[in-house]
Amino acid sequence: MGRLTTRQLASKRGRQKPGQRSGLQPGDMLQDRYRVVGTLGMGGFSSVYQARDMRFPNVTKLCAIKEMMISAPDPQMRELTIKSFEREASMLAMLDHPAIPDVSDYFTEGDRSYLVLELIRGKDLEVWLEDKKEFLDEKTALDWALQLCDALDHLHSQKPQPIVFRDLKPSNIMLDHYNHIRLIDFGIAKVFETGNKGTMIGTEGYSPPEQYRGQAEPAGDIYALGATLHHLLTRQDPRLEPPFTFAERPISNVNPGVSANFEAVIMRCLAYDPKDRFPNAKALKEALLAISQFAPAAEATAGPEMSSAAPADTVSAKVHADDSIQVKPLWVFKCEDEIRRKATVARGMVFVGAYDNNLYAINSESGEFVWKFPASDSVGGSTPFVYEDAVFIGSADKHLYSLQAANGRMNWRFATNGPIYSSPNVRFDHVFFGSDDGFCYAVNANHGRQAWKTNAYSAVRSTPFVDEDRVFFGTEGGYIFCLELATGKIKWQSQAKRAVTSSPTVADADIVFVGSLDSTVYALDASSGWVIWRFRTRRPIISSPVVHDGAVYIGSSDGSLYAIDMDTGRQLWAFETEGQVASSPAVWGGSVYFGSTDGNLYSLGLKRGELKWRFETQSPIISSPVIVDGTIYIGSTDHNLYALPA
Amino acid sequence: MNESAAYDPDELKKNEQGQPEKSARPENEQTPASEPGSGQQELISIIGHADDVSSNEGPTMRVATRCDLGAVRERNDDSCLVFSSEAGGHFPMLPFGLYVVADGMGGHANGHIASKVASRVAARHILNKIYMPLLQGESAPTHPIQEVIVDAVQAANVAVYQQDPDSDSGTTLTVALVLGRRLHIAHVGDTRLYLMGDGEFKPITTDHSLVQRLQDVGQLTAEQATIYGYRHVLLRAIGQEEEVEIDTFMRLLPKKGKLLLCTDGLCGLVSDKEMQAILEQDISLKQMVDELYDAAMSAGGYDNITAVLVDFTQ
Repeated sequence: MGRLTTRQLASKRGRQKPGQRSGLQPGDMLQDRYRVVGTLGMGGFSSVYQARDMRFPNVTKLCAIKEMMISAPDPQMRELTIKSFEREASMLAMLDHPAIPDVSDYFTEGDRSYLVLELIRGKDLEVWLEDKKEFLDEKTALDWALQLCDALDHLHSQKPQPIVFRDLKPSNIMLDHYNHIRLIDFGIAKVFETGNKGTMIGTEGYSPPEQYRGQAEPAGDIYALGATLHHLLTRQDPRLEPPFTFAERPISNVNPGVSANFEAVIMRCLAYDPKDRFPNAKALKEALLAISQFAPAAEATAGPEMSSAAPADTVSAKVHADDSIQVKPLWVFKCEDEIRRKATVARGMVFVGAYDNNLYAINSESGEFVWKFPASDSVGGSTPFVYEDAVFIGSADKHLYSLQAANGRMNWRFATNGPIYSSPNVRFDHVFFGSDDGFCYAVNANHGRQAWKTNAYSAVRSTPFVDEDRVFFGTEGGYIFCLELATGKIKWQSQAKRAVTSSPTVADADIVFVGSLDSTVYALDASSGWVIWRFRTRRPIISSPVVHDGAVYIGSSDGSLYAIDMDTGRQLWAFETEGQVASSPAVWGGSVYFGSTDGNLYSLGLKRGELKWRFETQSPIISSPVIVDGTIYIGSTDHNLYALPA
Repeated sequence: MNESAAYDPDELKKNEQGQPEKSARPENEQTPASEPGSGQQELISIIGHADDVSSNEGPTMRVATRCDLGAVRERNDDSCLVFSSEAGGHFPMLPFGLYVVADGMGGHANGHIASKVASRVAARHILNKIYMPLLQGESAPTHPIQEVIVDAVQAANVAVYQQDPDSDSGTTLTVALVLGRRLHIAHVGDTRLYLMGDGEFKPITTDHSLVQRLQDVGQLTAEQATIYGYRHVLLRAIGQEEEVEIDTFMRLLPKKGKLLLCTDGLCGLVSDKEMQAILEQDISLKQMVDELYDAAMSAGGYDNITAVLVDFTQ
């Protein structure tokens, strides 16, 4: 998707071929003295030419001539414009600073005014940035910043009025052949151009907010200098980004070679309120000198906290080796085999199925074994569900079991015609679950009698989601079903290209979210089954989504946990791990928790996906965490069930 | 197997307790392994569809529009387009409403052409991809709805841009699609969509304007914004470049309420409070849009004035 959102102005047009507009041509004479030799740049209302001063006929004395169109139609305005221009030109002629080119002449011819300046040979910083592919280093940036400060200080110290440069940006800063900074093109030109009926588009990204209110103060030049440095150090052109978003795009996010102190100085230059910036160029210069005493990138401390605006764009964070803070488990319980599914916590106990055919019941506080129930085959594919005083679980031995939670004795069991890998969901006194025999079942929780069953034509391994009057689930054949709760009658079915193992979740806004092995997260209208949006990841999705506060959280085998805006399907952020994320996330207390096959359990911030901590287990985590009362219970394929503080 | 047998209410009384089996351990099914993602083709289609899915359907929608010159401009650069459909009977269709406004940028570029092209190209895309298939008997759209409306606005962008790539030609564009109870919006520029319901009257879209951005960073108060000289500077518009960034929104509509789409010739001159007061009166929709128009004229009528007002009730 193209990143261009604002229109580029003068600079882009400046690269147009000369002669496209009616400008001066080589050979044209001005004032009978200056012969135009070429065009250096063309803008909307002004152009710069290279000319030869024929006052010295025997040598080629070159100069730069800036031409400005007087756009006022009536004679009085014209008069005023010319006078104001002449005043500015005179002021410039009085300046004496190595960075500021000499003004040698000014005049008006026809409907254009001209300023004759010293010709600077070199490269402007915009071209310099295009030519150079790496980041600008801090040492050079400081050097240039100091030179610019010095020039600004000179301008701002003028009496009776400080001179505001007004148009500081990389294309107005040149590096001459001696590597000195030279300012060109003083801001006599306007900040932006207007269309005929006052509808305009685009802004110059280096101008401070107050300049759009018509206020041009020295503090505005400080802002523009900060914006220029930001661009040079990040290579992000502010004209292509939403205006005034420097704080949302910290330099250190993009360029790790910049010290925290330098970044802080630049960010202060970019404060929205002029009063919060450096009061003048002198103060900025002192701050910069202080930094240049230290070697750049000495302190590796975190950058300063800026505005609280959360980045609207994608933020990706990689796992760093030194980020693991030691989190100590409250207890660890070893099962006889891998734990691949979520545990259930209720009535002071943790119930979890392991791949060893046993359903374990463990005391949730102490981690002590209470009982285990052996099925004839694995119960590891199903997550137990506790309802009143019974715990329900499916087994690969084709049965759904109802056991007494206190002691594990069987109440009843219900036979299907295929292994059960789906996890049961119990509501309204009925157990809803699927089987590999292709059916979705509704069985009375008290006595185990079937209420209905519906043929979904392929294995049902996801956990059904049950709301007031509907049941939703996915199948291995790639379908998403919506059934009527009371009767099991099909309301609609929707199809993905690959299996839907993930369990659907329905949000308040009547949307069903589910992931598929076709790598896509789907948002469907719960009433009609129509797809509202889809979000593609790079690899199959087994994880089930969790919805919280307008965002959908889901993992993918491409290794990332994604946070997606619930309404629009736009990515809020993504966090990359070194394994696959088969685990479904859990949200608790401002954080989202999930496991990865890289063996870690992660805790991330909800809004921005920043890593809070991670806990290492010895082998891949495929199961999903469950959190009750501030304790996280998670099983790993290292056979352990862990209880961790949230 | 015909699953309609499964919902026989008498089933509830049947006793089908499972029999304990001593069968041999069955072959293990494969565990749900992740297959390598070969290619990204997915297709969404609906197959079976119970007849009464549309019983909790959608609201009845009525609409009134006004799209006028204003007091100062010589030409109307705004465009609007409205398309509503209902189908009853044994096979009812979800109520369908498409509402579009566009404000062409003035100047040397033909704003009136840009806004017309944008609104019609977007509408055509949505009608072709969503409405026509439904009319032809498909049970669901073949593409996700948000994608269709974004593609529609992108198509509008390309159409306006290609009309004259070297010119400044451009327009805003706000497209609202109501399908049953769900409102989908795709939007670029400073035209606005307001939602009135549950006692509130609020804009859903955000303006892509300099003046909004200045307010966002605290450099302009809402009051100052109304008199700010550069009110019309847009940060994004249709037709300026080959691709444009498009905002999307989605809401579940309340049971009863109104939608107001308007150009800044209305919402830039008349306060939200005043508009809300007009819409809360017990008068016809037509009278409401006329009053909105009058309010904008009283405030000076400096720009073209467009209002598309939709009333929905379940």
